[in-house]
Amino acid sequence: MNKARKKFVLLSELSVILLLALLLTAINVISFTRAADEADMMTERIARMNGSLDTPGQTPQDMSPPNENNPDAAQDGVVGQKTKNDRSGKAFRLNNGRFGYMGPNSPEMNSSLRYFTYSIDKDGNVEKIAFRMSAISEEDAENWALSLQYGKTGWTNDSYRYRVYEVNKKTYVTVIDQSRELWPCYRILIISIIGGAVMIIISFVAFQFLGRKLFKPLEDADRKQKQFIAKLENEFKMPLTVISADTETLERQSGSNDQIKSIDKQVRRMTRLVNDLGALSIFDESENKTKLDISDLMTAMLENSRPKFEEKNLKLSFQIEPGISVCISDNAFKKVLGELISNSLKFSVSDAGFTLARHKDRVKLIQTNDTKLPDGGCDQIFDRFTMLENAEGTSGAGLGLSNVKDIVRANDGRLSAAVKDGRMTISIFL
Amino acid sequence: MKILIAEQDRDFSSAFSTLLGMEQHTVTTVYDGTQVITRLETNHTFDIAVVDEALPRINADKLLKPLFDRNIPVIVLTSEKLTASRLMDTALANAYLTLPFLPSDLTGTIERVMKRKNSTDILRFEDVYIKLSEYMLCGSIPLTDGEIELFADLISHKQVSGKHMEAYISALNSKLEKLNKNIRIKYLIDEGYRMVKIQNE
Repeated sequence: MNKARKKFVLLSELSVILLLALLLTAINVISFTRAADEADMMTERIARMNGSLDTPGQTPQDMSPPNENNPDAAQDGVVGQKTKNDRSGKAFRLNNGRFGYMGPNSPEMNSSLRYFTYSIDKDGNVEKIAFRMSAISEEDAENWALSLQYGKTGWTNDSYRYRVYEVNKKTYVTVIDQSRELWPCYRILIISIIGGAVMIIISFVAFQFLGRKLFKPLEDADRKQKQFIAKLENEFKMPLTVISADTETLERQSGSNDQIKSIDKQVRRMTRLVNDLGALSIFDESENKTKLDISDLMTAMLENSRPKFEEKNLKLSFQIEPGISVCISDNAFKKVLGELISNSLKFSVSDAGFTLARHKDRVKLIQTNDTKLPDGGCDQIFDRFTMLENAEGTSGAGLGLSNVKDIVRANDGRLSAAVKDGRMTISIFL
Repeated sequence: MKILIAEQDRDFSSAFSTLLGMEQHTVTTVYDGTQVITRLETNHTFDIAVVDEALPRINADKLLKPLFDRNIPVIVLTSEKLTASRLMDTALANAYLTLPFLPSDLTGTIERVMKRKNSTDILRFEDVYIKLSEYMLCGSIPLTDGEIELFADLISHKQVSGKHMEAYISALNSKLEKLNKNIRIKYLIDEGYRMVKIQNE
């Protein structure tokens, strides 16, 4: 039950992390691409004015489709297509298909823009077209222009956006400083990271709380069921003992008869059932586990049960890898192996085998025997009160192997059972 | 034989007193712990006592000492296998029976305990000995029926088997350790459980 709760918390938490990551990534991707688009609008505006906003005679307000105004720029595909026109600004469709908005060409805006443009001719002569920067020197600007001349548009030195275009057979490089425009984007990024982390922590706490709330009734029910079984078991013990004593008395007083024999048989049957039920309630996750050398214990238990196999004319064989230890309680392992032994005594026709070996980082415990059962999986033998037909000398209530399942599961193990080519195999991985 | 049955459940008491009465035993039944003490103090003597682990008023744990002092062997009835193996380490009882049991289990246990009690035999392995009538290991640590049976099987080199065998083995081993004996019960491949001398560390 504890495990189910942990699983619930983990899965919920994972889905929250996934959703948050998707959402925050999307917000940040959008915010940064918008910033890039806006920067591109600015460089485009500069490009239309042949590299300098101070160039007289050309005002962006009059800017019409570029092929009329600036054939060179149009050839290079620098500028976009006008889609909408109003008094204060222009919406443009950029070459990459996204829409941008070109703000009004106010003198304030132009003067606050930090940028430079250099032209480079075929011989590599660099000429300054415009320089309005204070953070970098003209010399640096020249070097940037030279290093960027084969690009197209993009970011350079973190927060500078550049555009390369051609005017009058010369390569123009315009670089604008966008650090002020990028700052809101970084702020969103930082808020996303911190906010995301806080959300993850809050949701984790919330899920822990919710999990406890949700699973409490289930855990209570589980505990009550175990208590109920334990109580039931105890309540059955005394009457069973008394009935068997009375039956014995009756038998001595009036001699044995079929009815008395039947009562005796039924009492023995119920006694076995009660003992098996007891095992159900004993083994839960809280059982104290120790590092147990199961190789020795298994050899001892199998050697000790050899007479029982010989009694039924069954051949018992086992291969046990020495020195294998498993973290399991002593009682639990004895119960598991004891049930496997009694199972093989019940189902074997002529021989039974046990194997214990290391398997990767786990331990593999396998019991096989020949059987008359048809081929196929038979995991249902692990279900409570299920008895397979054809079991020789059926006895018991079908609780034994279900106890094994409970123990193996409680110890994080796996188990399966199958019949193939007349051999039944029960595999347990611990 | 005079038998005392101390058990809260009256049906149990009457069923077993009838049954044991048929075997020519005199059975006294009491239903709580104080009654046991009263009977003992009013000079009632018993050959053996069958005591429920969870008696009202005075718990079986506290009844064991007065019974032990009067040299009355005790069989403790318990409903939990785990308590049985826990009590075995320290208790002064001679034998344990886990509910539910068959009448033959009780009569068999009574017979065995009485036989031991009246026997003059001494079981011995090296310097470890058990005087059967005492139910003691080397005269100082109390033993239970199952442990003595195990010891007997071991010195006669019999195959050891039985319901709570592992519990008896670990109980006996810890008692041997307490006595500072260098004898332990070990599992030997090809031979099964044997008593062996161990090296002193």
